[in-house]
Amino acid sequence: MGLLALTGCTGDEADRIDDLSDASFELVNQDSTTVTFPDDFAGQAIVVGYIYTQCPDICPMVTANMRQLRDRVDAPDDVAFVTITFDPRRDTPDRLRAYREAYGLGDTNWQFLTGDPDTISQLMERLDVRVELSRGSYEDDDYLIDHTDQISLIDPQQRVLFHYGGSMTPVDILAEDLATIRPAS
Amino acid sequence: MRVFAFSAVLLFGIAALGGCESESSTSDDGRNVERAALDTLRITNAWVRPAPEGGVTALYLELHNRRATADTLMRVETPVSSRTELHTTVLHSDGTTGMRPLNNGLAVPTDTTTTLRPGGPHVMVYDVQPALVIGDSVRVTLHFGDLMHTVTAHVRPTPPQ
Ligand SMILES: [Cu+2]
Repeated sequence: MGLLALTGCTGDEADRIDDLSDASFELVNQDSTTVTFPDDFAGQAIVVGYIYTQCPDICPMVTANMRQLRDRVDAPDDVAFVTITFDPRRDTPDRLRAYREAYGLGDTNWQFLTGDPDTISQLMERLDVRVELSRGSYEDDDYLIDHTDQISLIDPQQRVLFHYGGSMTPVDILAEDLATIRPAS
Repeated sequence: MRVFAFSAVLLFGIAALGGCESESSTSDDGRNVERAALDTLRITNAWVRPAPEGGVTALYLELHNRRATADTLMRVETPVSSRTELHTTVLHSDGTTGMRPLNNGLAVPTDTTTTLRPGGPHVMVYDVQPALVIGDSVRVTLHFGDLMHTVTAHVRPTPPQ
């Protein structure tokens, strides 16, 4: 637990949006392996993107932005890149796996996470991601979702430092902020 | 929340100008409209995002209309899907975003380039069969009021250039 001391220069308490160290969300990744968020990423900085796979316009821009950031920092072990769906009813682990592979991320350690609808809903609320149907209903399996366009940066002590416009924030800014919280830095 | 304005989302909201069905019968010089149209409505930079089999994707392109009349893109067909819709992306003041169907088609005004692009108008392609793999290409037919065009779209994860 010497991490706090190492990164004591991170910033003021007031700069933090939230502290997730008391939170624990049981999710499942694209391989159906249980992932406890954010606990399983303790000690890593986490870059989180939010998508649903039937969102082919804005959501891939969020992923592309994260991907550019990941390339920029050379995919280090001390930073976890994580995508969480806010459409758990349709985005099963299998669908996430296929989507992740279609986007050429199959060989990376970038995890795509889903969960039961209640857990996802609580997680999205905690991370300030608003989700609302704009067409159709959950019953008919054919719906569109209005949602917050967001990437979040969580530090190795599981404090939420920033929410960014996910599809539009310049990678330079993400990289600059990430550099300030990397445990290795 | 750190928000960086992405004006394209708003600018390309809906390029609605004329909205007319463009059934006018003659061009300026009196030539056959069909032929004039083929000469002067050009489509470039068609691309489509990858998708797993059964997935949903978006198609983008540029429409250069040098015709004497406005056109409306009404419908798009492709062999890889039996269901497509014209959509645009909207950005709400609370920071949320979403897609809305363009039920009256996409207006393509005369003497302009109308761009389908990420964060704006796009063709939503449902239930893709088979998977669209990066590097593949797909045939796409665009239906306007009085003509249709077939182009090739390349599968890629990000826009050309
Ligand atoms: Cu759409």
